[in-house]
Parts: sequence; C-alpha cells; structure tokens
Amino acid sequence: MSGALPDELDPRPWLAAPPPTAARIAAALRADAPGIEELRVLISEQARPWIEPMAQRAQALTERHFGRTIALYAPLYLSNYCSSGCAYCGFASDRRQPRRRLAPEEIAMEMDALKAMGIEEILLLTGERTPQADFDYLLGAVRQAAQRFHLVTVEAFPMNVEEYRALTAAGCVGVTLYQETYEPEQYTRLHRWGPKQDFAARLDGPARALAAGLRTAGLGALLGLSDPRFDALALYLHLAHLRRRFWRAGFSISFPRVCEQAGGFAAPHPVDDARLAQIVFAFRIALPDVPLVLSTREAPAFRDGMAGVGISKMSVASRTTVGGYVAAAPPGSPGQFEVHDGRDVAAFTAMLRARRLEPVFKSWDAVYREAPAA
Amino acid sequence: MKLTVNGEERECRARTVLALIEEMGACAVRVAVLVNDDVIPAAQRADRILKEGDRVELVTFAAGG
Amino acid sequence: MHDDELILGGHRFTSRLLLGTGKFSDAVTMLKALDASGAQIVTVALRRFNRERSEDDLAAPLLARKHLTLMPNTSGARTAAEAVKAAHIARDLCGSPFVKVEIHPNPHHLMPDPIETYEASRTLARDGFVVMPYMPADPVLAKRLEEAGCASVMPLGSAIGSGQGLATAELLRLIVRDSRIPVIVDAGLRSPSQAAAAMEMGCDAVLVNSAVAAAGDPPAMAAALARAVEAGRAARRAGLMDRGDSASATSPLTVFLTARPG
Repeated sequence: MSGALPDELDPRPWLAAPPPTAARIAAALRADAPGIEELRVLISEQARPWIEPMAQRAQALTERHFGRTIALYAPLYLSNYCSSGCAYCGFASDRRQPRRRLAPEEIAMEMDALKAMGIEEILLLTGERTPQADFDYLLGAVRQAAQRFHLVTVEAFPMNVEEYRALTAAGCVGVTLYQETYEPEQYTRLHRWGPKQDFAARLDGPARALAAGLRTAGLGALLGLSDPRFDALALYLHLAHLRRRFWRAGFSISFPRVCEQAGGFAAPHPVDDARLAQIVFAFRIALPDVPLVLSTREAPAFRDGMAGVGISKMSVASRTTVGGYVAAAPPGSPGQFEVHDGRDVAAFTAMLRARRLEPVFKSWDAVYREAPAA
Repeated sequence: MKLTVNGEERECRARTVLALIEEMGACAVRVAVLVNDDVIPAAQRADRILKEGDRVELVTFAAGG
Repeated sequence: MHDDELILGGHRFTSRLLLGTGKFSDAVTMLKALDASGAQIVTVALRRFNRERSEDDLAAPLLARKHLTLMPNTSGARTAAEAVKAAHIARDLCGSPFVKVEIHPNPHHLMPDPIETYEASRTLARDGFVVMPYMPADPVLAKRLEEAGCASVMPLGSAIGSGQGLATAELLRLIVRDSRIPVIVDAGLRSPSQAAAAMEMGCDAVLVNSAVAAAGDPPAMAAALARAVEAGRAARRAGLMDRGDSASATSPLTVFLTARPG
C-alpha cells in the first residue's frame, strides 16, 4: 500500500540545490516567467526576511489576475463516518465521538440555510468511504446541491473514472483532493489503517477526475506533516504535471495547516503564521494565475491580512461539524478541525469591503454544467 | 486526343502519362502528375493510359515562404 | 555542440533557422542565401509546370543539397481539402514527409484560417505527415493542434512580409509556456535582433523569408540571421538576468504577521 513518488513529482533535486543568495532571491521576486526554481528560492529559510517584498509582489499579482475580488464558498460536512486512521484528523475512526450522517431531508435543510446566507458555491465533504457514506450517498447529495447552487464541488475519497463521470453528470464541477503529504514514508506513518493508506490512488485521483470530465481540481498538502519545502515543491510539480495534461482544466491550491484538534496530534514540522504566509506568497509569485484558497481554520487577523495578498478565495462562516448550519452540533462533537474564524457572512464581507476587496459569491453558472438544474 | 493540360485544352499525341510528360517538355524536371485529381506516382506513369477529355495537371515546386 | 538538437516528428536538426524560398530576385541569389543561412529545412510552394520557365526548376538544386529537408507549403489552398490535396502532391513530388500547412484565404493580410488549418492538420497528421501548421498566435489553437498530432506549431510574429516583428510577443510567451512540442515563429520577422528575441523568449526556431529575400545583400543577411538565432538560443540556455523593476513604495502588508493578538 505504501507508494513512491513518480520521478516527475520528486522535489529532491530542488531541495538539494545550494541555499539561494540575496541576489537570487531578489531575482526570483521579479522573475517574468517564474517556475519551480523561483518557488524553491522563495520558500527557503534564506528568503524569510524578504516577507514584506514578497507580500507586495503577491498582492500586485493577485490584483492583476483576480482583480480586487475574493471568491467565497462554504463547506458542508455530510457525514463524519470514517474508516481510516489518519493520525492528524478529528474524524479518524479511533476518535470517540458521535458519528452521524445527514439524511436527505437534513441535507436539504442545511443547503437551504447556506443558500439563505448567500452562498452560491458549496463544497460537499465526507470521510473515506464507509457503508454509511458511500459513493451513492455522495452522488445523491451532489444532485441535491446542483438543484440549489451554481457551483458544486466535492472533497471526499478517491474515486474511479466511472464514479467521477457520474458526479459530472449529476452537476458536480470540481473535486478537491489533498495529498496531505507527498513524502511517501511520512504518508505511510500517518495513515495508520484504512483505504487512505493507498498513496498512489490518492495521488492519481485528480487526474482521473479531470479525465472523467470534471472541470476543476483542488490540490493541497496539510502543512506541518512533513518538511513544508518538500510538500510545497512536490505540490507545484503535481499541479504542473496535471496542467500540461489537462490544459482545459482549472486548478486551485489550498493551504490547510495542522492545528490542534481532539486527539492531540502535534505537527512534526510546525508551520507558524509567518512561514505559512511566506509559502502562500511564494506560490502566488510562482503561479500567478492559480486561485489560492484559505479556510476558516485560520484566525481572523491572519485571514484579514492574507485576503488579496496571494489569497484569492476563502471559505466563510464555515461549520466543520456534520451539518451545523441549521442547528448547532450536539455537545461533544468536534469538527474535522476547529474553526478559528467564526464570523458570519455579513461580518466577513464587511471586513473585505473595508479592505477594498469585493466578495464574489457567484463565479459560475449552472447553465454551463452538463446536468440541468432540475 | 483532346486533353486539358494545366487548365488549357490541347490536342496531344501521347497515350500514356509518361509520354505526355515528354511531350510537354517536362521529362528533365521533377513533376507531380494528377489525372482527374488523382496523383499518379512515378512508378505508374508508363502504364497509365490517358482517355479523351482527361484533365491533367503537371505540378512542380515554386519559390515560396 | 550537438546536445541541443531541434526534434520535429522524430527528425533531428542542428540549425534552428528555417528559410523560405519566395520573393528572391532570382534562383541563384536564393540558393546563395540558403547556403549562407545554414538552414536545414526550407519551404517551397507548388505551381503548375511551365515549359517556358523550366530554368526556374527549384526541385533539382534543392534536392541536390543532401543536408536539406524540403518542407512544401500549401500556400494557394483556401480550404482544408485543398491543403490536404496539395500536401499529397508535394509528398509525391519530393518524398519529404514534412508539410507546412499554410491556408490564408485573404490575399491582402494573408492571415491564416484557424479552422481550415486545424482540419487540414488533423487529417494530414493521420496520413503520416510531419505537420507544421502556420497559425495565428493563439494559445488555445496551439494546444488543439498539438493534440491533433502536429510536430510543431508555427505561430506568426506579425503579418507575412510586414516586417512588424514580434507583434504577438505576449501570446507567443503563453504558447511557449504551455506547449509540449516545438514552437517556431513564422512570418513578420525583419531583423536578426527580432530573431534573437524570439529565441530568448523560448521559441525553438524561427522561419524567415522576406527578411532575407528583401535585404540589400540576401546571403549576408542570411548569415547574420543564422548567428542571431544561435546567439538567442545560447542566451536562453544561459539564463538571462532579470529586468530591474523601479521600486514603488506602498504601505506595508505584513504587519499582521508580527502584531500581537489582542
């Protein structure tokens, strides 16, 4: 079950390069046609003092490619059943907590609540495959979502091409699938049991999704699990590789960071705020036209500072418990991660406007999907 | 017999494509031959018989970018 | 020295300058310029054989130069069907698998027809040709042509014969960035500096014609272009220094990373 990184995704040649000089860092900041070498230079330890010029450049590039807008979405956790034993996740099957899944009527109510909040882009989540929350369950939820929301994406378990095709036909536009860590040995250590142990199946998931006709793929690594430079470079290579093959597809990169949750998992390679910001800025400079996403896992002050400075897309008013938008979660139910930015839509969009950023709820239309909105 | 060669009607003595090439003064030059829009490769030119009214094109290279 | 070959449809070349044979005052000058250019790929057009002009027979002197690969173009065709027909005629004529798909229906601006070009390229790629499509500098069309099986894409720098240089530079950059096959700038180049600029930008080769044919001394210009293409390529591989940006002061953005909460 343990995998290996294919050669084209192996970041070690860049990790082995000598530390960059100040001149090299300055050049990377200004590069016309940045690539992985620029990313390597900008995420290095040596580039840390350059955080302010990196932020300036990141803001200029974000504004050039996205205008002064922030795309907004909300997650809906359909179920917290899980068969896997990921050491870092609040839903791991050995964490004791009430397990439930939303019934179709409950899904409808949660979705209506989100719609009433103004949400037009929804991300549907489940854990790894379980009998309680299997593919057919997810497909049903996608159908319900497609009736209400213009843009439906899912973040669940790796699927095969036929399943991804069925999702597309049901109105799903995109798939998010984080590799968590691209370092195979660490991956093996952290995924203690269950289907998520299969490194290669996860790695190839986005390619299968795009081959099946899904329009967008969201990638990411859970920062803190391994040396963040390893994961950042491998993530870049993963995206570059997919982009060449699927040149019509849209891609986005998210920056989930290990933070505390019930179970007490401590990040082996902690990433502090400045380091996370540096990584985001570096990605913006190296990939000027790729949407970069920050969730409510991060604190309000951090989110405020990053909006429009590299980050072009954010979740808002999220609940990471099952459902949670209609009624608060039952006591003793931790979410998948703790939400540190609990601001509602009004408060969050007011902050954006105060920073001269326009919140964008709708960037797609159901009419472009294969499935008609019923 | 009457043939249309390179867009012009003419009376020709040649019966085969190869003979026509000679008659048109093109045997020293590399040409491609089309009879009624079919390309006639070199190997077939001696055997390809021409019929009354056939349209023949003799094509060669020209200067061009 | 030959660790940087240009590979087109499996065929390997050491020169990254391609030459057209049109618009020269006479065949002798054209051949002198061709020899001076070091080009290994040369384009020719098709015309009806005319006995009165047989001294302008191009096929013989070109085929006698064994280092040359002929790349017939389909100029004159206005539809995919006509271009496909021309390609087959040309292949019968010289045996080269290369074809430059060139379809420009408007005789004034000579801009290539993207739809007919795509159709012809797809058909000819299936027929086993090494397809080199002359195309508008459109990044999406470039990927479609790549998917259709072309050996390269040949986006224009500016209109044929216009000498306007790399008017499409920004689009060329996008094409170069995303292409998995060689990108050859074709049309509109006027000078060695423009050819070098195209190579510095990341293009894999350039095709010139008017720049040589209409020069005061075509063989000398051809030689200069050859050196410019080599210089531009070498510069690209050596890694150009970055442009300086003038600094513009704006308010600091990272105070939030050092501020204490509360």
